[in-house]
Amino acid sequence: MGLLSRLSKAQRRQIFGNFVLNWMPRLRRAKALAREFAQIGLKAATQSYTLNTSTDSKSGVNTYAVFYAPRSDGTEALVLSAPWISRDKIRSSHMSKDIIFVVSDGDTEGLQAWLKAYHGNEQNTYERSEEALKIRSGAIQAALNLDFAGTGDYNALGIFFEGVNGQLPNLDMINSVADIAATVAPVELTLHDELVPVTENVTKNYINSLKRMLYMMKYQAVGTPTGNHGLYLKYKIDAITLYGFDKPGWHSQRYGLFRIGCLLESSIRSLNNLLEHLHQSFFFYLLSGVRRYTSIGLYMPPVIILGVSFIFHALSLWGLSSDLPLELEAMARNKNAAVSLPYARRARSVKVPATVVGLSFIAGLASFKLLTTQFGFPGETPLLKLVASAGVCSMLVLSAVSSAQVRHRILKMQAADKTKDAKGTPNNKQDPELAPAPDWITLKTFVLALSALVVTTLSALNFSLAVSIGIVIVWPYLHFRPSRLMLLNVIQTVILVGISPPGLVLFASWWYSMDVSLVLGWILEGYEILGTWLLPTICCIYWPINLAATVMVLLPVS
Amino acid sequence: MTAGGVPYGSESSAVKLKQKWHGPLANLVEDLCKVNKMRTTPACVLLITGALLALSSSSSVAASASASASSDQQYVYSSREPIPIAKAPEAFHEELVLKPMNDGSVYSHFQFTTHIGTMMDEDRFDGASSNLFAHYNLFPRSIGQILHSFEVEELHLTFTQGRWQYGDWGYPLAPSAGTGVELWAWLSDDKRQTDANWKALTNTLSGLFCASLNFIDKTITVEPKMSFRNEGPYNVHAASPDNRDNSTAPPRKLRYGSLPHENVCTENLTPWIKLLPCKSKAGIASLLKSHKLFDSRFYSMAIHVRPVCEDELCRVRSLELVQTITTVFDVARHDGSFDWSISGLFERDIEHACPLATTSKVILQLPHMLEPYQYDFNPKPPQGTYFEGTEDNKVEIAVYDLIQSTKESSPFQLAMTWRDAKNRAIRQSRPGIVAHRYFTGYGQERGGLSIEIHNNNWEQIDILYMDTLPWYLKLYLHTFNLQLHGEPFEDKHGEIVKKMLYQPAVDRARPAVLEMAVTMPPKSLIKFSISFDKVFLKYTEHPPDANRGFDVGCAVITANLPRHRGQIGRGGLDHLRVYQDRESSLVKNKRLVESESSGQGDQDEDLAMDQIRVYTETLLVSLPTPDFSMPYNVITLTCTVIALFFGSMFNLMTRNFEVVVPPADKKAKGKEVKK
Repeated sequence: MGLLSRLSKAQRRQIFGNFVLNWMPRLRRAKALAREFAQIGLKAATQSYTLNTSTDSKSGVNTYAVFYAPRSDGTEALVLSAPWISRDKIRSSHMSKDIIFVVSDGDTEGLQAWLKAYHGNEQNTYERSEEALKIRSGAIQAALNLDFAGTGDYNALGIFFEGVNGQLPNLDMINSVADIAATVAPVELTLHDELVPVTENVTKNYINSLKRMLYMMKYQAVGTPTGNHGLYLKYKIDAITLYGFDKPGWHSQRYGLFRIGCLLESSIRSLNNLLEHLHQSFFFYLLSGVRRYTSIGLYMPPVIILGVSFIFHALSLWGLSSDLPLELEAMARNKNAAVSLPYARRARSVKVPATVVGLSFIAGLASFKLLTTQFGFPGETPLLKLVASAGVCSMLVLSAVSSAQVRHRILKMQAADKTKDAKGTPNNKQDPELAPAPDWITLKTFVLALSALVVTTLSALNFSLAVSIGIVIVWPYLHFRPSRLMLLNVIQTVILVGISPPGLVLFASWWYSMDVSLVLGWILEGYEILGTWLLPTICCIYWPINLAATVMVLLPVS
Repeated sequence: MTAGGVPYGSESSAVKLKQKWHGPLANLVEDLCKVNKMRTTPACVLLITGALLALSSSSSVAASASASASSDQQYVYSSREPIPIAKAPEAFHEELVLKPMNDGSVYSHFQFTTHIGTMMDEDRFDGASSNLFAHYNLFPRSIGQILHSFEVEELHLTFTQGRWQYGDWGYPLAPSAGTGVELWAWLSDDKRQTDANWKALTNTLSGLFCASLNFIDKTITVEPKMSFRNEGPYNVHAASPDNRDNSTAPPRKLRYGSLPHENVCTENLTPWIKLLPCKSKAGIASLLKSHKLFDSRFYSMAIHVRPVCEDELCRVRSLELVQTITTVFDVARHDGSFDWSISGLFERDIEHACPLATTSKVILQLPHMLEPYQYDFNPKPPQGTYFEGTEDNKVEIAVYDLIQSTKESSPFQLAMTWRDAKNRAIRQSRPGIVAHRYFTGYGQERGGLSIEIHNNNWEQIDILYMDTLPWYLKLYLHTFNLQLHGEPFEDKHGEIVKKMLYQPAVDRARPAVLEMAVTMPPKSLIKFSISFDKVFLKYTEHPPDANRGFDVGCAVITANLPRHRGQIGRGGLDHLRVYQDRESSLVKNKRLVESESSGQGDQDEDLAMDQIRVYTETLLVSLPTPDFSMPYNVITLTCTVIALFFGSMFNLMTRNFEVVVPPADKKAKGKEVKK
């Protein structure tokens, strides 16, 4: 009952909050919040931060307060954070863990700054400066992030759970909230912010589930968290975001602040009663519904098969590049061929492909550096830098291809001279010196082996990213080869350029009908603020292999 | 003069002394001044008056004065008033201190003091070897026997649940406030059996108090070199400084251990209550109802045993057992009202004082208000309230004598009500030294430890820092760094860290100990940080709740704070006896003696120091944890399969199947029987 009266009080305060606080300057707003916290008997403080990225400069003030659990030793804590809206308070005498209330400023960088300072990593440089925290509690065991836009009523509650770089909270976190939303505080619960009706049609349900799973995989692959909860996961704190939203015309019952309070209190109590850090359930899963999951044992085999296809193809190519086919040819003609040796007879030059691969990795790294460093010349934009790095890479491709073509011509002329000489001496009974394997075969072997390495390794780190990369590259990399037909070569090159990072950025901006520089800025921001791996992975791993593949397609055929 | 060996209270020798003294009085005083290297004249004047007083007063004082004059020790005693010394072999005092806090909590401090033995003519006193424990009246036998058999001289055991909020509540009257269990003892090392005795002591106490004290083994136990000295200025060992470095003094060793994650509950309280002479049947102990006590924000229960001096020169000694319970009730939890009463807090009443108690008191420390008449309390003490402390540290105190008041009206009632619930102008407490400790970094490979110490005083304060870290955190001393006011500080000349003792850990054998003597500049914030690696433990070394992490006990800061700030009410570690007037005057005199001997000659109490201990938070560290359930699952699964498969297969394969043709007559017989 105490909760009820307190909630109505909170409700009244929130009206005040929405009217006044939104228009206050940041610092005064934070101070006012801290005063509110202090009034209900919590220890409250503020933390200011600034963050200068290559594109933007951000600063803000976080407010946080700690409820010290009576009788507890304060070694463990839970976090209830909100990007500065909801302010429901729970004060119970049965808490064994402290509760930290964090009202973070800004988008994600506010909470990021707070978390960094909480773990003692606060910095004080030009790029980043975070104020040290004045009050603390123990090790944070779990966190709930609230995202309710105001005090109105909602008819659905969404769970966001994908973290930075596709990290996921323990599945029990979602399960317990789902249980509570089903029993204690009846609320329509869904994944993300989409409500899909369950129908009698099995196929339709299946497709809906698939859509949701792909939706989740999209978030996971990009590596940008879908809410503030994603930042906690980096610190091994299980966290989810609860997002209240309203879908007009949806049949479910509407709920207000009271039921949110019930849900929160029950969830916090459940987490509070945990004796250990959540570890019993899965950390690796794909969700296609709140209650449906695909475990790692089921989803790993496909991506491994994908990776294995690359490595098998690479091995067969490596075999092909030896003299085996020549012998087969000889046997087919019923000639008295020399006894075949179990190892390669045809020379396989590794120099050219190794140089190409090495150079393309250097080019990838250079473009990454180019994108992330601030040079300070006027009119410097990420888009300009992307164009510049694309230029660097195309220069590399052109130079590699042209030098290879020139080399090929020279070799061909030398070979022609040699055959002339050989014709002059007819009593040569030795096997004709086999022409070395064409460079493109060795290079393709390299490209495929590297692709296999990338896909399988990534599948353990970020499954969705590995799958998407694998699916994009599997067909072109396996089947493309230089052809004598000029047109075919051009088509292949165009496709390879299309799946290169600049091509993908263009595609994404077309798909979401956004400005290219916006897409690029978003990726850069993810890297600089949140530390997502998408940009480094794309620039330093994906792009080099793509460049090598492009070079491979343009190499001379034989 | 050979008065050094004069037994206390011996009439004849005192008479002899008097005769000797009358003649060369002036010379003697001069000698005294010389002997004590007193350069300042006020001190000499004081001494003369002291000596005159001594001559004219009772024999006991004469004896003490003569003793001080005769021996060549560093100090001289002069008394301002004669002190009656309890000659009873045993005495029991009980008192309850109540103090409303700023945040609406009510602080209660129960204190039960038992004295045993008044010894004279003992050259050497230690609890263990003396014949103290021949007979027990009030002193609990179980404690006496423990002290005797394990040669314990001083014992401090504290059980604590919850955190003491130094920022809100100031300092507690009981010095030990670290979460969990803290045990420290001075053991006699006469027979070089300290370690064996310590082990036996922890195990015995474990049994006595139903606590896991037996887990204080060699991997936890430390021997602090600077902190945790003998307690109290009137302590036997502290009182005789020549004893300290004297080779003839019995060797003593200190052992300290703490269990940060030990929960305290009724099963620990029950044996604790059993040690009281009246149990919880009478006196203030009848308020000890476990349901209410453990539903509080802070609960601490302690036992302190130590040898103390009954007089200023420590010729009369006794053993003191102090039992304390400290709780902080959250009165405002339910309706936000700060009103409280004894029967409301404890759900019990004091019917009458413990009949065995010499003194039985309830002391109410009134809140320090910025505006008058904000609260009321009932009943008012018959002799009125009085003030302690000076200027802005004045504390108003009301004392109730239970023996008297329960005779007049029983049960004893005490309640406090607030007039205006909204605007309470209570002066904030500003503790002089506050410390926080926390882990930095994340992940299971490495981490860091940061310690922030605030000095809120306007004076420079010397503190001792002691931190015990378990062996599975591998500290790197080269990463130790110091920050002053948030800026890195190069402490090249030892301006801040005066002394540092570091005992590196030994795997599975002993913890790492970091002890520092630090000088805190006025109004400063000092931050130490050090990095460590986390060890990959053997899987059997993990506790059953492995994914919770490991508790790291609190660091202890020992500081001397200026008394006139009145930060702990009325005096630091003297808390244990401070509410007994006799002892407090004893302490005062002792201080006077010390201040004179140190050449200050200043009687002003402003220079006096209170020793306090500040405990930091306990911490939780997560080490790399294997997935315990997976091998378990695999083992159970495979074992089940193998057991089922192997059992049936083996049975089938080893069994010899034969066609048995039953004999015809047997068959017939069977049929007959059936029929």
